[in-house]
Amino acid sequence: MIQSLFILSPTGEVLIERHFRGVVTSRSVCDTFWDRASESINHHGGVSAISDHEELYDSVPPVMEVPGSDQGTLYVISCLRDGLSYLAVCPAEVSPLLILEFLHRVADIFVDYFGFPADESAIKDNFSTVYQLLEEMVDYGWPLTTEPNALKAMIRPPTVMSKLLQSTTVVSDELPSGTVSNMPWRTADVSYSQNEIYVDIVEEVDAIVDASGAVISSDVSGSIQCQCQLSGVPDLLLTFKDPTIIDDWSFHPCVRYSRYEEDSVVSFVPPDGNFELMSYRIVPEKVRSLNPPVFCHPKWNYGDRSTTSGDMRTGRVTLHAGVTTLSSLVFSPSHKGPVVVEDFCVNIPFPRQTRSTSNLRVDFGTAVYNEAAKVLRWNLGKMDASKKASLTCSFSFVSPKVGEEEALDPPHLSLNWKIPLASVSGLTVSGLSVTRESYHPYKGVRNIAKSGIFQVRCS
Amino acid sequence: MHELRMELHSTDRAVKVDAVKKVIASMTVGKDVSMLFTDVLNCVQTGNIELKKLVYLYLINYSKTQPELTLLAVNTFVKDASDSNPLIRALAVRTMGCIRVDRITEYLCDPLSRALRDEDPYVRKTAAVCVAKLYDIAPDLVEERGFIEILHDLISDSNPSVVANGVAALSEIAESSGKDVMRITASVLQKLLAALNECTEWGQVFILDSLAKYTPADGREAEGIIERVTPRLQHANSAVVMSAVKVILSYMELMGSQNSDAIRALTRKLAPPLVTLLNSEPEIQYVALRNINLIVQKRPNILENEIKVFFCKYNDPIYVKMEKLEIIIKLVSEKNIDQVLLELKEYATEVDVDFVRKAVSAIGRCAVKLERAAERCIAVLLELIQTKVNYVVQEAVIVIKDVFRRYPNRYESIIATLCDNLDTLDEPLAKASMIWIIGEYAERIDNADELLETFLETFEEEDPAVQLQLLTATVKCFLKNPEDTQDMVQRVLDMATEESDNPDLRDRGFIYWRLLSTDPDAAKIVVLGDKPVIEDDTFKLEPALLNILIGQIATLSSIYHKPPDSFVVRRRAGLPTEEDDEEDDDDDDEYDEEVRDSSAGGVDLLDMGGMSVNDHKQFTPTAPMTRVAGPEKAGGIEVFSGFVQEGGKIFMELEFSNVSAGQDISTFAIQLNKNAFGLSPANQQVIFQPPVSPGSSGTTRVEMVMNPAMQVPTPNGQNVNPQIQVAIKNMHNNGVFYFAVNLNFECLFSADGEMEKTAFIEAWKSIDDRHELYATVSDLPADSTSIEDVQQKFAAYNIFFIARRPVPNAEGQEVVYFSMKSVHGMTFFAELTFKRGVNAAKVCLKTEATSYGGLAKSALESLLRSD
Repeated sequence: MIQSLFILSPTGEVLIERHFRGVVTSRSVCDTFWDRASESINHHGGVSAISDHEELYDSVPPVMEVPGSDQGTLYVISCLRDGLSYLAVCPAEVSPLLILEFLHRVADIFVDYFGFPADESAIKDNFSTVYQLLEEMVDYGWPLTTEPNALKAMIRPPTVMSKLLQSTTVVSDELPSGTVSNMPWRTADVSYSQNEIYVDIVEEVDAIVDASGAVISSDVSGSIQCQCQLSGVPDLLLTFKDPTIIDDWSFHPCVRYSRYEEDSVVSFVPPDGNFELMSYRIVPEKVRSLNPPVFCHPKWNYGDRSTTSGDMRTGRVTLHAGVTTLSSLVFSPSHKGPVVVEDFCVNIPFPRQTRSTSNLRVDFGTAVYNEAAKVLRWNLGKMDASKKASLTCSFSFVSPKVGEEEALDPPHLSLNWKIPLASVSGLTVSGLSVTRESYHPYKGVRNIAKSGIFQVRCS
Repeated sequence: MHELRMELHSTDRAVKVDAVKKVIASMTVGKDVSMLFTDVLNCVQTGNIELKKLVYLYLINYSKTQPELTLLAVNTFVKDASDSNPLIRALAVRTMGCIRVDRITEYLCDPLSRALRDEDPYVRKTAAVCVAKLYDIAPDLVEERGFIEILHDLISDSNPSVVANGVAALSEIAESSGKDVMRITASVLQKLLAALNECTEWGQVFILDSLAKYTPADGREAEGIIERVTPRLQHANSAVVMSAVKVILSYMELMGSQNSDAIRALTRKLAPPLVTLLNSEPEIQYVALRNINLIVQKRPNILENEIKVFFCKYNDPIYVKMEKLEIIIKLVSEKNIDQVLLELKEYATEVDVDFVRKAVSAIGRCAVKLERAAERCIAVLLELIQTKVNYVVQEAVIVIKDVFRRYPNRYESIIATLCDNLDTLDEPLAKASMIWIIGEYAERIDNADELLETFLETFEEEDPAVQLQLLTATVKCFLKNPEDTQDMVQRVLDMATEESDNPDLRDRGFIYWRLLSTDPDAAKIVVLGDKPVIEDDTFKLEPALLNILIGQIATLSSIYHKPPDSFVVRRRAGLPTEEDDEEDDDDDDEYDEEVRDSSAGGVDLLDMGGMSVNDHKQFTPTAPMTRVAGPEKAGGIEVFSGFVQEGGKIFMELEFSNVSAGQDISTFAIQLNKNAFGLSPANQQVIFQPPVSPGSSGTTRVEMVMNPAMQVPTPNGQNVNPQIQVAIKNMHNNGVFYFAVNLNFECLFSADGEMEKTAFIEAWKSIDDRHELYATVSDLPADSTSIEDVQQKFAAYNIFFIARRPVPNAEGQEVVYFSMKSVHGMTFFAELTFKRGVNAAKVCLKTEATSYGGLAKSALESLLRSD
């Protein structure tokens, strides 16, 4: 199990160090880790971003062997969240997935307690809460309580008030009854003056599309996000109109799995607050017939190829983007009017050899070029099928060696978009009922379709 | 600091809490605040939980350095353990378990036993973990007090968190003690299966992992358990999913072939959860992919239709891409090859050089694997060669050589294209591959001799691999076209035999020379003979290893694809006796006797019987043997290795288990890479006498000498790397394999390390305390607890006894001093502390040679542990 836990700052400094099993792991483990991590920092001029929220040091394998310590070989299992590296040091055989899941959970809890992002300053401002949390989450190197509700019953999150007063609001001396109940996810004695529950069915489309718009591979992952403010201990039953659309699913621990197996209904006592009720994938036939709602055709021109290596050359990129009417999305009955895509955005990475850009012109939206990352971000915002947008931009770059023209090939574009009241699968809720409590809560259900990792290849 | 102290003594609770927080904050950034120990301790008498928690946190941190002072807190602990507030009861029990001070342990037992039966589940779950902590410090005490039985009861507790911790504690104890405390009986099995639905996600992982170690009685039981486990595949936690997959895959083996319908149904159920894992964070994806790699080797049909999900996304981290590529090659089939080729071609234009090369090589591997698609694959490779990107061309040439070996005489038409790109090649492997192709198809290349001629111009500067290929290719060329190439072959043979100092090259040169001069026809048969057709290597783990690894899914071994025992060091008696092969008896005493017999035999052989003065055990230095290479790496040989000193000479002991189905093995050559100790073999030949026949194993020793030229200096302030890299060549089939073994440092202690007492004291004092190294060795075998025995054992390893004395004011404690000197002349001084009746020892080591200190300390620790 976990022998030690380290949390490193974005510059590799040890912020938190905790040893769970009586053995003090030398900090040299962190140095070894940081040496490896620095490789990717030097290589990319920064960490590489997976998406807007995810990033990682891709020179460090998530499970890394560190030989030659006092205790022989140690295994460092790590993840990077909000700029902080979470390192779990294990001396012997262990389930790496368990550790990784746990590290992510720790980071989630920090966000829950200190707000987003749970970064260096959040940790520094809350040392003593961090230690108390770790104490409750791990004992002797084993993950224990990781349910936010159970933790909050024992350790009070820092509030604006307590910060202002710098005082010691005494945590209730009574053990809150929900702490170790048989429903560790639910806090007892919740009470709201207005009872309400919102259910979002979010479907994310991951796709790789070629320059002509043909889909090379696609995958749709759905999740049901709930925002729950219900008093007491309500028992909920969620039913779908057509559950056969769902192919594979995984549930929050609160869901009674056997009920779903038998009747394809989701029966559960919800946690308090925001949570993900379930995630699912849809049947392959639906994915295969997927037609993306947006298009983007890139065209790169590198100018005269005969110039000698090392010289500056000028190239030009042209993009056409827009919303198609041919998409295979299913719209909710409440949806009226034309298809409107929101938060439409195209990220255009330029070739590594690029030195500068000029003559940037767009006829729709705004575009900003990020000099350091060599990425042009084209923000189209809200758009419907009636408009077509185009972008042109010239760029000058260092001509590569003859025979390495290939190296110029620009990285793939990535697209972000969101369409409210739409879904890929057509999954709709047919009913949501509350039992065990007498009140009638306000219930809201809606569908959202959006981009996951959506890429367009240029070649 | 003074201010802090004042604040700690403040009567205002708010000020006090704030002060303790400040102390904790300094502690976390590594500042030493141990001087405030008593002041902080005073704050523990409080009703405020938060304050108490912080003080306890501080206590745990400094209990190690201030054991005496920690004892002052015992009363508080005992009192808190029966507090009316369950939070405080649990906190006290937990903290006491974390303080690893012997005397605290004694006080811990009663509160712990109460806590295990506490009415509050929060206390029970904390107590369950505490049992495992206690077992680590004092296993006897745990067994004596019957705590293990109580843990068994906790598995059927009404609260899920308690169940989870009970299972975790039991598995931990089972693992660390090697005892079967987690034995799954029919009733335990039912308890576990019931708990699986109830307990927390982490507990589910522990339960599933214990289930994976259990072997069901028959197919029906296996099926029954699988049915209960299957719902876990839908869990949101990837660790739960993967452990469930492990249980199902292991049990599927037992279901037998009569049940093929059920197996098919299960196979269908396994695919979706595995695919879902690829939607998680990249770190989790990586671990999942390494495991999927094993799963597709074992049961390819599970994911046969899912190849698309393994296609790489542009911003996947490189380690995820590499793993995906491996799996794509494993899943490629005639059905999906066209799509896969398009993908691989796309990858070949990406930026990351390693990834591009792997993609190019993958195209070739597809060709080798799928005969009907070979032509399409080659077309793609040719297209890539046209891009003239340097590393793409080189990688393509390397892999095309494999294609030629797989399908001889089928695709020569592309040789012309390859020849156009000769000047691009600058890497040895690519050059060697190209030269091999030229030699092999010399008769179809018009200017083969000219091409070889250009390579020959730089013969002397080439890498040995290229030289060898050049030599062979020229000879092939000569045999096919003797008229034009006589000069050339003569020149090559001259260069190889006379000007080169590479023994391999010289040997091969002489053989060709002799063959050509005595019997050119025989030479033709030998050199131009049909080569065995190579096979697709994509399913490369051996079935036996694969089966072991399938049982280890979701563990570290599954990531490194190494069997679990390579994660522990094996220790074996130096002289194996016949009894070794027999099954272990349950009776431990008997086993001890056998060991004694064998070591006594060893003593007689060495004619040292006269030294035996009493009935104490005789110690002969033995090499701790570690498994360093498996049959998959070492050509059908399992290799164990370790180092030992005997008669003033240092030996590397090698044990080869011949697990190949082939022939006897006997003669090898050995070579060591430069290492931190300057070790190199005195003689490069290694002979097993008698030869090791398949299915048996043999042991031999290679004498080592110190060669300063072979020493890699270690930079100041860094720890020495104990690793020795070894290359072994099998002289029968010229197969070469490599392995690395860590040097057990005690074999380098020389016989002249003895010291005068006064000299020792002076040397001890002269070394700065900051260079002290500490370790505590617990769980010592019975013969390491008596100082006399330790002294004897150490003497056998040239670790010399200086003095011993009782520790004042600590009854039953004694310190013993030893000195040792390495053959390089570095001296080490050690202080060992023993306590009567406790099978643990403290080690403190001082040396000027700081970079080697860690090694000497580890050597002492492992000697103490060995029996």
